[in-house]
Amino acid sequence: MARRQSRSIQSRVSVRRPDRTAIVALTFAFCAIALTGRLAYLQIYRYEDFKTAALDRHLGSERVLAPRGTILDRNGYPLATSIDTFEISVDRKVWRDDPALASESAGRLAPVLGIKAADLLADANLEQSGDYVVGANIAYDSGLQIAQMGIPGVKAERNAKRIYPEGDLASNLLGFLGRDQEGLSGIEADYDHQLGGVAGESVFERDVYGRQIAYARRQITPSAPGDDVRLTIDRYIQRAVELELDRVIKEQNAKGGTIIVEDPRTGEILAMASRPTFNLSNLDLSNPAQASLYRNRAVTDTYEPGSVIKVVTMSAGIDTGVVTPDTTYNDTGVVAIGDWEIHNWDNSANGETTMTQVLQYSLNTGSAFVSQALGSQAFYEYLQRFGFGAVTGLDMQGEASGSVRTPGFDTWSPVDLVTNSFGQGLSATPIQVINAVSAIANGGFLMKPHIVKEVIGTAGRKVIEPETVRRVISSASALTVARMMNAVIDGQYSPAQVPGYHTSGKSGTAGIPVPNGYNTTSSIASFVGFGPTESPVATILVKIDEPREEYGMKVAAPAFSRLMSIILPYLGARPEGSALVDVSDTND
Amino acid sequence: MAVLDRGRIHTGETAARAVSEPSRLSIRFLVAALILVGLAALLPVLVTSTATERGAALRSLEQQRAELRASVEGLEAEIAVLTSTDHIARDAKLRLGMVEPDRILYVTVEGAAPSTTIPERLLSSTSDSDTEPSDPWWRRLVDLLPRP
Repeated sequence: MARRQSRSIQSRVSVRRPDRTAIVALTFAFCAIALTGRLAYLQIYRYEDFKTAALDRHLGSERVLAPRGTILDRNGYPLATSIDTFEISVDRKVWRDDPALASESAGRLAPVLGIKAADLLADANLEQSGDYVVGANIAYDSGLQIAQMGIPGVKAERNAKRIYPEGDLASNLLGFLGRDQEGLSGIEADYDHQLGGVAGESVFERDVYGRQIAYARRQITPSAPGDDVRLTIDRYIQRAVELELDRVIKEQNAKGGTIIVEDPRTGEILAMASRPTFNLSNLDLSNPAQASLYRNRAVTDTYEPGSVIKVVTMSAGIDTGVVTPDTTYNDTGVVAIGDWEIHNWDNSANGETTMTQVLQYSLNTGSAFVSQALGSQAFYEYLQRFGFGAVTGLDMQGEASGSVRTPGFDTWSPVDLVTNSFGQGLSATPIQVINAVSAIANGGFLMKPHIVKEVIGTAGRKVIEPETVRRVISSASALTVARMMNAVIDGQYSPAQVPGYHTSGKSGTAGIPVPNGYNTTSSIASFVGFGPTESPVATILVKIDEPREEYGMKVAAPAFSRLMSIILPYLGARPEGSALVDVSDTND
Repeated sequence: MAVLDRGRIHTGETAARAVSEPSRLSIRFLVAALILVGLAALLPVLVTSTATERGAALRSLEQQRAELRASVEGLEAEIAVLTSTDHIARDAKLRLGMVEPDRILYVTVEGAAPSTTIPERLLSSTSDSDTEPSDPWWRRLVDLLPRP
């Protein structure tokens, strides 16, 4: 009995023993498989991820800024150039983890930057993480000194600062850069691709504080420098224009204004200024109120040009042979078009009047006479030939096309033909107006205006040649209209007269459209002209927004005269007729 | 037996001599190999050292180039500022005592505009032909002699 029990126990024991071993073995096997699986997952499946993470921890990279190209004026004087600087920043985490180290680091960094260590520490500790930028444009020597000091937690990265040698000159033309050295407006934005170059990259091994390990592995992809951009702008003329614009705006307590100077022979813009504008030397990108100042109003904003369009109407009349300078009509002071009555600006009635006098006295009735003689088809065809209703193709972004309603439009009515003939009921940009008048100065050829003369890079020079858009009127018609426009200035007393020179021009006074009519309390006063009449070298448009006085001849013509007096001798135009002697009014 | 012993002894010496010759050679080879291995092991160190040295020199030159470029850019910017229209106007006023004209008087002169050519009397008497050196006296003397 006992033996039987013992055998049964033995058999039970002998049965259990292999089970335990198997369990242990299985456990170990399972663990081994799990570990192998995990290892395979980490080493094979996640290989790239961990490799990247390890490299990220061990390797640092730095963007190698490409030297940005310089913006030059037409004579090669720099308007915007760059100098090397350093951006100094503090890794807050490094300083926060070790306050003693932070204190010591701040003590070493602060004297180089000329600030107090306590202030630096306090500013760096305002936030818990990220980088605290101590200075974005630290002088190169100081930045280099900091970089060589190897202060824990302090990063010194190469940066560049844009310098404007001419101060705030042509600010909304040149534009500005963002913090990442990319152009945000103006030429800086439009030619960012050429000016910016191609940034390089430096990959290096770094220590626990993120500092580059000296003599360790390093790989540099060099940067390609940006091209220089030479503008058609002349800094001397631009300065004269800006001083004059500021003067007129101040005198007239005006809301703003625009002055453009163009070479009619080539379409080159010699100067372009608009107000209000921003100061390059005091730019605050965080201020949303300044955003409206960044645009180049000479190109982006439209207005009703007013009576300056009469020269286009007259050009069309002369070119088609509908009228001659001596053609007369009877000015009764009023023209009736359906239910509408058109009056002269001064409500005058001048009787028998020549076409030259129409321009001299800026008669709306005379303009109506010519436009009706032309007919709507011919009138609008000439308007379009002169470039109205379409962009000029100026090499700047944001150009507006203006609007011209033609008989095809639902809202067009016959009275529009007459009002359009003296510049009302249509809109145009200042660049369109000056370019159209330049076509008259240029013997009837409409040129494509441009502001960039040349792009100079390491690969060579890309010269922008003058481009003729089309012939708009014959050269004989152009000369005839130019002489009629000269009568506007020299044929009577005019504040637009330029001593020593015969010039041609036309004033304009336009209402400011508001819903259901025009603003009766303010106007846009302008004057556009060129000189010398027989061989023009410059066209000038002066446009003043909402001046104290109303009329273009009173507000803008004197500015035209003063500018022409400076610009014509500067451009080498010889005085005509009697020789003149300038006598400066000195007190001695 | 003795012969055998001698022979055995003899045989044993020969064998020992035969063993010692190749072992000496082996040791020499071993030493040579060790030296070669040692030199080979040092080679990467030498190469690395040279590369590091060159790298440091290169970095130093790059640093110098960057500093010089920054210096050139700084000087160019300084020149640009000094030749700016604003600076010229300021210097004209402050250093030279010039003033902006508040009014310009134009006096009309009855008569033709000045000629484009410079009047003879205003031309410098030391024109190119005047400044040309005259022939030396001996050349004039030589010229008097009959030519061959």
